[in-house]
Amino acid sequence: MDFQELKTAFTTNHQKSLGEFYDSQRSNFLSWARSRFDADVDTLLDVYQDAIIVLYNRVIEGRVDDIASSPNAYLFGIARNLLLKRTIQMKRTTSTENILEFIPDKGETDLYDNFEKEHKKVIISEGLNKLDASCRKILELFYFRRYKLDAIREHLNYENTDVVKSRKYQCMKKLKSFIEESKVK
Amino acid sequence: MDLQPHEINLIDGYVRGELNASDRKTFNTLLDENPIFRKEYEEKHLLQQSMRLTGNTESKTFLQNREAKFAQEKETKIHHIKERQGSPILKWVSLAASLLIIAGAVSLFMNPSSNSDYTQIYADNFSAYPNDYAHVLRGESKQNDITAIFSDYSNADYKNVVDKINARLESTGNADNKLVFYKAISLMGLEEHTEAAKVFNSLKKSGFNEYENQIAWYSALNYLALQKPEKAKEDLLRILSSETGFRKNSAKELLNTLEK
Repeated sequence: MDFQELKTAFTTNHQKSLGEFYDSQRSNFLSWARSRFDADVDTLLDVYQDAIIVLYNRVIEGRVDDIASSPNAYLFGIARNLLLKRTIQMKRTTSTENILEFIPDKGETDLYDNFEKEHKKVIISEGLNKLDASCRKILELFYFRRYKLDAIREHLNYENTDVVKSRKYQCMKKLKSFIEESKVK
Repeated sequence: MDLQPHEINLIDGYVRGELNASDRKTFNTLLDENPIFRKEYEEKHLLQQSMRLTGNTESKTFLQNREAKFAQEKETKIHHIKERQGSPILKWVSLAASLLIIAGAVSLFMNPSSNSDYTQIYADNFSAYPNDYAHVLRGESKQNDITAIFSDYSNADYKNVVDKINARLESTGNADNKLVFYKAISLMGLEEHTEAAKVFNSLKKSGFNEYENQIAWYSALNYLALQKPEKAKEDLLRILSSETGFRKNSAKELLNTLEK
């Protein structure tokens, strides 16, 4: 499977494809990692999961388009960096948020350090939490998971893509109103 | 002044990584010249970032649960091997089992639509229906029984889901068919297919139309797990004749596969 096929799978049914990809490389990864790193299986699996998540984010965000290697090789590369970093720091990852600290992308570090933007993100998160589940889901699938409108229609059982578009628009409007309310408070 | 639809599409295209070179140029110009456009872009970018943190946590939980299942399966296999080693009579049972496997392989060769095929088709198609019943916030899983049910559901803790749904249905006395549907999915997750079939049949009889296709789709898969392809076909045909769109294409494809 190449990156394009992986992206299509991730943006059509992310849970199924993520699970399948995880299973497909798991034993290869363990054999590879056991022969190179002095770490217990739990640690290796923890890192493997983090590496899968990093790969997932990069694939759906289109940040692997110039990568010549296969997704499997790229995954092992990410895992290797995470393991080296972990070996150096000698500490366990306690949160998936730490994944971003391990391999920060150019330009992203500034964003994460910026207090004001962090504050805005909190307001947005609060706004998202106020939305009903279906609204939140449609925004998540469109903006974060990069599902195509047709995949969203299929996934959430909408009549057609026009309904999806209109619903997305309404949900975004609602979210904005929640964000504005928070700013006034 | 509000943004025009094409400007909003441009921002959406950018944050989703879908713009071509020309659109990207237009995007950059608008970003430099139009403060409202810039504000809209910044909000959507931050929206993505916020969602990524939540998404990473969800993915991690999902993979951890998957790993827990691996560990459980391994444990069960070891247990079976130990049991077999402990009983000499089981050597004869093993021999009989081997003969059955050979017989099964011959039958598989003679008849491509074998049990293992249906099991494989089921495994290829089954994934738990997404939670569109209740939004569960992180850290509030104990707030009420509905959020507790769907917190367990998202963690694939189906045993707890079934127990909690049963308790809720009993305490409220309401025929909450949507919740019953999630119970059936959870029973499938627990591989209690006979029980799941009973629940699906009760849902079909209840006239619960909102999830008509969902019920038929999962019921069809459940029948495949039970090695009852003819029953599965009936459900798939029901999807094809329905007005709603859920899983129509998938039902058509699956029906073709079963007809081969």
